[in-house]
Amino acid sequence: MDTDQQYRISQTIGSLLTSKYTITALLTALVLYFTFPIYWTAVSSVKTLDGIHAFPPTLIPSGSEIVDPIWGNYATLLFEKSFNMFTLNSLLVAIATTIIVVTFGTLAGYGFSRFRFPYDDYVFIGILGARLLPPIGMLVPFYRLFGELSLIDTRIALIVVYTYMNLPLVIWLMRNYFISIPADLDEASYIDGATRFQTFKDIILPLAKPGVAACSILTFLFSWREFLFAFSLTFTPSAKTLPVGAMMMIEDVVVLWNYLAAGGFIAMLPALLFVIFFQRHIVSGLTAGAVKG
Amino acid sequence: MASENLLSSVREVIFDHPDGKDTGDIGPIREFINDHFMFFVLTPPLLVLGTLVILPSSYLVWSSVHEARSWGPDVFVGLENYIAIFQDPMFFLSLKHSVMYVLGSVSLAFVLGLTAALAINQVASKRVRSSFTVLILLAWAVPLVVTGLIWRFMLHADYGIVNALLMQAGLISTKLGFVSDPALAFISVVVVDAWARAPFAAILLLAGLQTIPDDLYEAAKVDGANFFQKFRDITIPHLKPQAAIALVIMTMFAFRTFSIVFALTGGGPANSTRVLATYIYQAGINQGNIGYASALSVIMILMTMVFVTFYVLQIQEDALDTA
Repeated sequence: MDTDQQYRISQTIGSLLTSKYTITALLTALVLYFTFPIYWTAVSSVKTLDGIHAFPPTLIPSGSEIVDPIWGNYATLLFEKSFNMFTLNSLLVAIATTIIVVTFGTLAGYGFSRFRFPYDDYVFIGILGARLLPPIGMLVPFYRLFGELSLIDTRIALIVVYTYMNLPLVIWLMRNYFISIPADLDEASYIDGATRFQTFKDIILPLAKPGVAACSILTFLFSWREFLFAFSLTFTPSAKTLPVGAMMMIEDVVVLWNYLAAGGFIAMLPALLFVIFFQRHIVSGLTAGAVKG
Repeated sequence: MASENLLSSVREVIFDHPDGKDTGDIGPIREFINDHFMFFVLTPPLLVLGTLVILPSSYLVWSSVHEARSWGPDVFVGLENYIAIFQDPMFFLSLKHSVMYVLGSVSLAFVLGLTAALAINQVASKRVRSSFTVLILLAWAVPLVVTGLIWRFMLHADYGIVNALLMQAGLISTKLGFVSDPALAFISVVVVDAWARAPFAAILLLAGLQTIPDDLYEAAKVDGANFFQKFRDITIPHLKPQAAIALVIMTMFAFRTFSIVFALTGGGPANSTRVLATYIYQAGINQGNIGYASALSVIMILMTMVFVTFYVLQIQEDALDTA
């Protein structure tokens, strides 16, 4: 009797918890919590400094709180505060890194998926380990080595560091992706008289396109949003990237939050767009990199 | 004329050997590449990566046993830097903060992520499910330094939106200095870090949830299991490996946090949010004490190694069995 009652109560609580309304309410709350700061960045980026300093702030600004024209903050940033240079640097660094990392990572990934050589497992685990080292631990030696090579305050320094940070992950992801493509295809291609290079280029690589896409997006995003090295290794607008530019706003005596928000929004925009349009690729890349080994 | 001939003969050697189609001969250069294809695909990437890993790591170890400053020559001092670290109260303070930070942020992010994953997994429609995934993943996309900065603005004592919302809800009567009060500042960095980390947890756990076969739940339903029994006996055991990996990864990444703390509080007020990463930055880059910062880095890397080893062991079977 007693257990029966208990059973019914827990059944009721369970169905309440999993009811459509509870789930919807919960998801709405979570989405609000996770997206509000992004909304707030966008809203603050079109406010005047007076609008920023109003308390309580208005959730949907109007009238004199909005800069006129509405892109005013962005225009000032881009044309008076070197943010066009930062954007260009961010783009160049992220694209160059992506090309280098994805090219090398795809080659090595294919190599690890198809060939055996002595101690290959240990080499592979070493690569995995390299990915997991904390970047802050490598900051000091990179800083000093680049100093010796006079590469401080150049985009090349950032490209080198981001290659070091992203290549292990991409080798690992691409290897897994190539493993999921049956090696029988390679064999069949050899029998048809194709060389190994042709097999790789014409048969296997086209099949691995989704993996290459995921790796490219992730590498681009990770390079685009990196801050620690960009901040430590660059000093002048010629090499600073967007995240560094956003941080610079804080170093002024008076923090210009409206410009900071605008800079922050430019810095997060490509990542937001990537997530919206390539969600599947990003999710598969993240989960494969974390879980599948 | 001569150069044209030369070009075409080079072309012949590399691409179109005259007998190529009949004999299967592909010319000496392509044959060499073909025979050593493994060498060609693996050597360049491994050389690049090897240089980029081994050069700085050996330099790190080397400078950790030297008195190396931005000025003057480097002097070998043996283990002095390491000894100094273990006598340095600031090291222990930042280590304590790092540990508390990791515990707080990872558990908070895990709970948030798990809730989100469970809720999203309940949604039947695939389209709606992926819309929710996108909306939650947006937070992951924000550069961490921007996360720190924008929350610094939202938590501002004078005109921050968080104070305004809490006051309007009647939860507080005076504005709180979330970033300027030492005790609140630490809680703030933990909460903000969890905000940035939870989407990643949600994605991993959601992937884990989706691998649990529906049959199991159907069968349990037939057997009359209630919601909690199903959760305890099906969801938790099946989710455990994924959850373990999510926790290990989040721990590794929270332990190295720099950007969020740096942007949100800069380590202050009164060192209340100083963590290992910001301490290394301050010693090495701000004060130019390269040797000391290197020794700190080595210690931090060794600590991370515990988790790295655990992680590698967890996934190793899976990683190598597939080969």
